[in-house]
Amino acid sequence: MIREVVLRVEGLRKRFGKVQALDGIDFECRRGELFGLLGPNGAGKTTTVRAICSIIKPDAGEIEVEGVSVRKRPLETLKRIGVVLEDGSLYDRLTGEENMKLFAQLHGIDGATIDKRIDEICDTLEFDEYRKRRFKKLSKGNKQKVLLGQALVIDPPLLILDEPTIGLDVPAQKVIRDLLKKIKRERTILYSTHIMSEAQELCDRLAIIEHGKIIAQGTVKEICKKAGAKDLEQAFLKLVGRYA
Amino acid sequence: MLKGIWLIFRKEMWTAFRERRTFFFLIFFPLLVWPAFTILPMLFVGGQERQAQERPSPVALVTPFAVPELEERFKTSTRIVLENVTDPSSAVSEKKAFCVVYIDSISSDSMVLYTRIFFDATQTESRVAADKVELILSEYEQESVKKRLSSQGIDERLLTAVSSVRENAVNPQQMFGFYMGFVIGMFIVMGALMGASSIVVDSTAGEKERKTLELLLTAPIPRSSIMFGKYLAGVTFAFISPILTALGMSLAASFVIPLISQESSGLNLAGMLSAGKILTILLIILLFAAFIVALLMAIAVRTHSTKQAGTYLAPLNIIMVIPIIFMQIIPAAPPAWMFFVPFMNVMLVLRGLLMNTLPATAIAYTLASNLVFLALALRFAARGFGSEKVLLH
Repeated sequence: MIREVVLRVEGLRKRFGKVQALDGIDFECRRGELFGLLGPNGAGKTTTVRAICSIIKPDAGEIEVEGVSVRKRPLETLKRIGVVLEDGSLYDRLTGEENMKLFAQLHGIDGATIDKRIDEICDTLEFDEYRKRRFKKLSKGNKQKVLLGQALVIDPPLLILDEPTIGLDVPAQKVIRDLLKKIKRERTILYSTHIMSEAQELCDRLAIIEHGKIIAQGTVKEICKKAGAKDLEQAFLKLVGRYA
Repeated sequence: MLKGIWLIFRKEMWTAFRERRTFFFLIFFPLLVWPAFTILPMLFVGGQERQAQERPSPVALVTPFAVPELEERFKTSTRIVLENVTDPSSAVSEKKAFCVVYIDSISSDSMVLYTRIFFDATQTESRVAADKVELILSEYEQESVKKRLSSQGIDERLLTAVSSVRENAVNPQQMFGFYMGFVIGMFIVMGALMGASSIVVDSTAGEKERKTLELLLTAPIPRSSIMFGKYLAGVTFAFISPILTALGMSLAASFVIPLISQESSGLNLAGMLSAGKILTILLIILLFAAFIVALLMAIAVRTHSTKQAGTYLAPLNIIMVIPIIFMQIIPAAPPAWMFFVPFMNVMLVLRGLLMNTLPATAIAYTLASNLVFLALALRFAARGFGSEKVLLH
């Protein structure tokens, strides 16, 4: 059964001065799919995420979220997206709960729904005892849970996670990975990472991006086959031309 | 859009009030520290001078010549207490006498005394003592001349072509307004800047530095809502801070000064202001707060850290000091063009309102020019918030 396209990116281009950050990116994410965006540092993953979230305007190309054009109706598409940005942070002087509440209110969600969802999220993320603690006083792992919480509290059809496990210790990484496994059937997730083991474990399909271009796209099996590699890491290194 | 503005405004206010420094910048400094640092030194200097005037000053007369009449005058004067010293200069520096009159010489016909007055110009009491001594010498001179003319059978009025007395045509309330208007105006301008700086820098450069702004940009509200929410929080601070400063100064001027200074008893700053004047002052402060916050925001949003924002905003403090310096020499009725100069026009209007000498056109010029400055600064700020290059780098 072919599932409905939730995110469609077509011919995306973006230049920063002399650097062509994105050079014709095309991919689609379907409902209930965890789609990985893999690439080395500076490949264009974060720029792609920023363009989808209307943080930057692409020079060319089209992005649609549930059929709504990001270029034409950016606020409409943002209502459908929950985001965790690379190195992103929240407000130190607000508690974890207040931070989640703020983003839910900015998405226009009513108070009763917000409270119910925050309870559920705190329960799922095993965060309940820290929810009233100020963000500044939380551990890195708990901060990441709040960041995930603010993205989940809006119950978005599309969840964008840009390097969500970077800098976390092993137990905290596992909590995030377990959560993603749990929620990936319910929503579409665009998962940007450069950790191959994570991508292999979590992603239904993925795209490898290098120098602003997609150089391979498909399931882990398809990409490994295309590269003639035994695992994703070897395939990745072969495809980006760094395999010794 | 309005809901977005409200949510951002509330977030900024909430996070600011959870910061301890907000209490210091918004409440403690305006209500207590600024009035204390301004009025107490004024009171101290004024009180010292008044006491020196009232108390007999210890002075000395050192003379190698016999001048009995002058010595008698010094002994009998109630303004001074005569001390015995030998070296005039060391007597002053060692504070044995606040002032020493030394008779250098006497003309061969014994008609003229050549004197030197030693005093310490850095000491209020010494300056006052020198004034008293000059007065005694002047009285002695007049008396001596009168006697000499009389002995020659000449009418003393031959030497008097004009007799005049200086009288201040400005009433005490206006004098009070002149000084307090300057002081309050200065602190209102500085209070607005200080009150707003912290929250504006924190909500722009600070958010970029802490990497919270980018996530905020993914919320489904227009960027103009984000900017105006932050802007309104800044304006609130910039408005409240000078109001509290003015309140602190007014309370100190109206209640604290009369308690310790007889000269200013009966002068009531609050009583000098009608409801119309208070509304005008509030409007002027609000417009100025709106302008200064837009300016701060336009600069701060173009920086990438609170430290860099501080460096960029430092010259603004210096620029603001320039009109403050000139305020002291600007006449009570300044030329019209001065009401178009930012910062200065606010101080001039506040002083004019307190002195009751302000033409309505001056208020109109100030409001109109500040509206233009506000529009330009807001445009500059909005361009920063609209630019991905500015927001992400």
